[in-house]
Parts: sequence; C-alpha cells; structure tokens
Amino acid sequence: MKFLVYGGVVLLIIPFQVVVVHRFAIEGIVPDAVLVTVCLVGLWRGEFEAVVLGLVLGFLQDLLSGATVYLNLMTKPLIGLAIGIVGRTPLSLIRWMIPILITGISFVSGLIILFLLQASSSEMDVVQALLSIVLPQALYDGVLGAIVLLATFRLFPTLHRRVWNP
Amino acid sequence: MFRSRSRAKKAWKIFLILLLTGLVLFPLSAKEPLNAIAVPLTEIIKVPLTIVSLIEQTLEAGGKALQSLIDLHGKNQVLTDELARLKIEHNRLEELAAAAERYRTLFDFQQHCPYPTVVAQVIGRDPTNWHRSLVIAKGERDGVIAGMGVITPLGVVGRVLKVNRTFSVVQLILDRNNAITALVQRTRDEGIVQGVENGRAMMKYLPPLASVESGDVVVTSGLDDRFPKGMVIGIVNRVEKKTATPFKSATLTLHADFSTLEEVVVLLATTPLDGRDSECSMPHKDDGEGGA
Repeated sequence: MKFLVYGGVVLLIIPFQVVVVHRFAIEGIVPDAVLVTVCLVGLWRGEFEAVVLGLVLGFLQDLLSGATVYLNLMTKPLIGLAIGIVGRTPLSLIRWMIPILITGISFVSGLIILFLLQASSSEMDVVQALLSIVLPQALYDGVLGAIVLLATFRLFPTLHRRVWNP
Repeated sequence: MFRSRSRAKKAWKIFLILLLTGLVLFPLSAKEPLNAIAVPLTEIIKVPLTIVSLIEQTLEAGGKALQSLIDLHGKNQVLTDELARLKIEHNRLEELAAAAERYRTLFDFQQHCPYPTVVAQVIGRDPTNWHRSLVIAKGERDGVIAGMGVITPLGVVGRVLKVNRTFSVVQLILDRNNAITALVQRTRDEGIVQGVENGRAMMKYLPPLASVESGDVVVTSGLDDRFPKGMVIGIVNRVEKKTATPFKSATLTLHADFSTLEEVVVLLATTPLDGRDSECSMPHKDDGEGGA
C-alpha cells in the first residue's frame, strides 16, 4: 500500500513540476514542488522514507532537466535526511515553523548546488545567482510549503491530529 | 276555503302576466319612472363592477406575466446553457485555429527548409531554476539524437541534450552551459553565443576591433555541425568591453519567446536535401497563397 501511495506521489509530482509549475513562475523563478514534497514526507514519515523518495524524485528531476550532472540526485536525499532529523525535534511541533524550515532547507540546498555549479564553471556569477535564484526560490518554496500544509490539514484533519498530537 | 285560496292564486298569476306584458308593450315614455330608479342603481352597481373587472383584468395580466416569466425563465436557462456551451466551443475552436496557424507556419517553414526536420511539441520545461531547457515529445523513435540543433521559424532555440525513446530534453540557447558559434551578419565578426544567469544570451569573444553595433543581426556561423550557416539567433542589444578581457561582448535580444514556445523543429541533418537551396528561412508574406 505504501509503495502504491509513493508511486502515486512520484507520478503526480514530477509531471506537476515539469508541466504545470511554470504557470506559477514569478520573474522566471519556479517553486520546487519536489523539495517541498520531500520535506513534508521527512517531517511526517521520518528520514528513511524521505531519503528514498528524494533519491527517486531527484533522479527523475535530473533526467528531465538540462543538467549534465546529477545535482538533484545528490541534494534531494540529503534534504530528506536533514528534515527527517529535524522532524524528530520539538521544533517540528510548532506549526508555523514548518514553512520556515522548508525555506531554510531550500536555501541551504540552493547554496550547495550553487557552489557545485560554480566549481564546474568559473564564469558563474555567484552573487547574482544567489540573489536571483537561490534566495527567491527558497522564499517561494516556503510559501508553497505553507500552502500545501494548509491544504493538507483542511483535506485531512486526522493527519493534522496524528502529526501534532501523537 | 280551498276554493277561495285557489282563486287568489289564479288572480295573482293573471296580475303578473298582465304586468309583464304591460312592461314589454308599454311605450318608452311610459318607462321613465323605471329609468329613474335604474340610473342610480346602475351607477351604484358600476363601482363594484369596475372594481371586479379591474381585479379580473389585473389577475389575468398577472397570470399572463407569470406564465411569460416562467417561460422566460425556461428560455433563459436554455439560452444560458447554450451560451456556456458555445463559449466552450468558441474557446476550443480558437485554440484549434491558433494551433492550425502555428502548424501551418511550421509546415511552410519545413517546406522551405532544405534540411530534413521533424516538428516536436513542447511538453514540459526545466524542473529546476538552474538550467534552461524544454522537454519535447520526440525521441530516438523519431530519429532524434543528442546534439541535434533545434529551431523555430523565428530562429535558433538550442540543442538536443538528452534523448529517450519517446521524448528529449532540449538545452536552450539561454542556458549557461550551451554555446553556439555565431557571426554578426553585417560585419562578419565571429563569436560564441552563450546563456547568462538572468535568462539572457550574450555573444562573447568578439574581436577587440569588431565594429558591432546595436541592432546588428547575429546568425549561426555553421562552424559546428549542429546548425547550418545563416540561421538567425537574435539582434545585438548592447555592446560592452570589459577591462579584464581583450574581447568585446554583446547582449542579445532573441526573436523567439522561450517561455511560450509550443512547437519546435529539430534539424535531423545539416546537409541540404538534393537539389535544394541551403537557405533555411521563413517564406515571405507575398510569396502567394501558400507562402504565408
């Protein structure tokens, strides 16, 4: 059953990220629905499931992007691991902290990608990339995370009780 | 006693018959006294008559209005449904017309292009903010291989980066990792067109003495095997010279809007088909009926 649910998540999130999400681009910046999904799975289901899901989603994301190296395959499981560990701390019990956590994780992940890309291409303008890609995307991911959280708790109130009142 | 009662009855009957006959047969002037009573009576009776008549008329009109309102409501519902259906149909037809126009343009372009090409639909865009790419619905099955050039009637789009059986990833000219050898059409100065961070393209490594100006057209140089010579890339927007490098560079304005691309053309080869001119451009509007 769990495999079916995760299979459904993969089949839903990847086409959403590749086809739909560009309609919500602000100044060319799109939110990373894959990152938000991995974060929420890490918070709710623990680091193991988040790492596995991050591996699959990151790999597919790299396959469909113009990337020549598997950056998402590296960063998404790391995100799953980090958020899974944070999810075990009391920090995750504070509801409004979740979007802030997602923003922080997205920012750190963006920085890792930025420095990996900078290492492979000396012509990259780090400051501009930081201001025009990393920071806006982190904020956008936090907003998307907050929207997804609200929508999830509206649709599945029992999940809300299970997560915050274990 | 019984006899006297029957006589009285008979007398009353005769009296009534005579009275009625008299009323009918009496001359008009003889009816004056009756009229004197009738006129005020009719005036009195006229008031409730008028009122009842008015009520009856109002009720009838109200009934008719109600009926027509019910009819109108029904008709309105039917028309609203019809309008909604027609709006959907109109949108669908507009979409079809736009698609037909695009396909016609692409077909004309293909007809005028001497190279073997395949038209591909854009089905997705890069899932990250770090790269600029498109996902197209043509792959190995359709003869697409990595490295092939991708164009539109408006100019160069990019190159095929990854190929699967049924779809491919096209790296846009705006991507930092993409580089195309190009030349300025007017001055014939050569350089390399490359994407920069904020989604723009730049022509780099222009000779220091190049007389490139804003408005000059930049075309492919044909030095690499992805694009034939002379395909439009864009127009020079601004020329700059950084002190750290001996070369000039120019920011470009590209013709194609990459955020709204729906179809692209993949160049399957860069050698012209037999007996055809090597120029691959859009036909002019005055070429005739099929030339638009």
